[in-house]
Amino acid sequence: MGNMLPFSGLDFFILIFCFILFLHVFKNILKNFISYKMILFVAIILYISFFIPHAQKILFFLIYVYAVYWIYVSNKYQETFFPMIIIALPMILHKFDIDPIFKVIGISYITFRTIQAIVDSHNYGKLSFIEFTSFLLFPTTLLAGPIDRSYRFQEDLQKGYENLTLSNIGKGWDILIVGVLFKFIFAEFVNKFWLSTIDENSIVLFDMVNSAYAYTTYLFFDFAGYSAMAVGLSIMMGIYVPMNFNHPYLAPNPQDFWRRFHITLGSWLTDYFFKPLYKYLHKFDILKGRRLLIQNLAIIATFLLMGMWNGLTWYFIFSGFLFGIFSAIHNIYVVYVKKGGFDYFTIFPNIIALNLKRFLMLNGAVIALYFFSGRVSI
Amino acid sequence: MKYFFRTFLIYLLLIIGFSFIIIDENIDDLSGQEVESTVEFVYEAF
Repeated sequence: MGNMLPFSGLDFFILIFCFILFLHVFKNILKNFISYKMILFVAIILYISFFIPHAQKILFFLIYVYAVYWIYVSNKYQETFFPMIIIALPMILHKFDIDPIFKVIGISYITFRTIQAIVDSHNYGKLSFIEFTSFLLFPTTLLAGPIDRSYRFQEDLQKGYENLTLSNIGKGWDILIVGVLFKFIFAEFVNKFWLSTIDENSIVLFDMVNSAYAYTTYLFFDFAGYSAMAVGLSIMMGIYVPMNFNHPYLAPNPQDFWRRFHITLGSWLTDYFFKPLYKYLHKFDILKGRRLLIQNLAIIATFLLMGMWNGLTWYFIFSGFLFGIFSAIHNIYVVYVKKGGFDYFTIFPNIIALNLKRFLMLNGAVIALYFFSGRVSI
Repeated sequence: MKYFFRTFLIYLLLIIGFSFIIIDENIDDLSGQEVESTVEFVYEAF
């Protein structure tokens, strides 16, 4: 049973390849009497019911969030804030370790996907229960993203059998093998020969620095590999789940870093937390006319939320806070240069300036991810 | 051509990597660790 959790073992891959093969071989027969979205829905419900531990909790949670969604849509989208709190409440209880009913696998990702679906249903139309279920519980993205968008997912569901092409098999396979190489070979080797050889309780500076670099390398290969496998397999099923990583450690500043590292989380937080909060903060008299301060407050709050979303432990929250501070410093610097301040990087030739920025960003990320790892001996 | 080399490199690394992992997991005594063998040598009885 354990091997059937997404990407946890060979059994999962065998099962999903059988399903992909079934779809591609029988698509011409299937399309005459069953829609693609229905077949995906049935497959997902069967998969969750048979192979995911405590499936009843996930299905109960699904009904709970769909009921909130339905009430929200029936009331013609009059109130947004209250439904968000109701949707996020089980995740918050789960993070505080209070309510065992909502100890649902992938609840953090499901909650974020639900909030996006609710907010965007106003502009992009309502999802049927079948589409809603498939979007929330799509197996390849169930546990750790990428966080897809409902309107994009819905488009692929509507195209249905059209997307089941040999070309998509090829595209998906190319991404999948990179994911397998990253997760099962590179991440494994980094862990075996580098990360696990370091004593995480050591207070020797060299060990701490070594641990930080090792973890940063491991995290990239592990998570980027996982995400690539999720994207690859999804494309093979005709669902174009967005990519989650794009050479993140080559980013020259924090803003660019979050466009390359866990891209879908960064864009989710920007669209559904940062922008509304930024708008909301303008209402306070004390902050009126202080745009930079409002921006920085919203940035730091967004990264704190990201930290808390990962888990309510001091190292996740502090790591988020550090990323927030980096972004705020960058924001202040950009505004300073825009207002005619001297750009210190122009002292160097372009290529050196770019790599210096990359070096600073990479080492900032290493420090923040060192705390994120929880392997802190302080 | 670039695609070919990229793909070739990926498969090469995958084959080397998985071979290493399989060998490492199954032939522990190659790495100098003492492993109790479960193989019975029949000729020892004679």
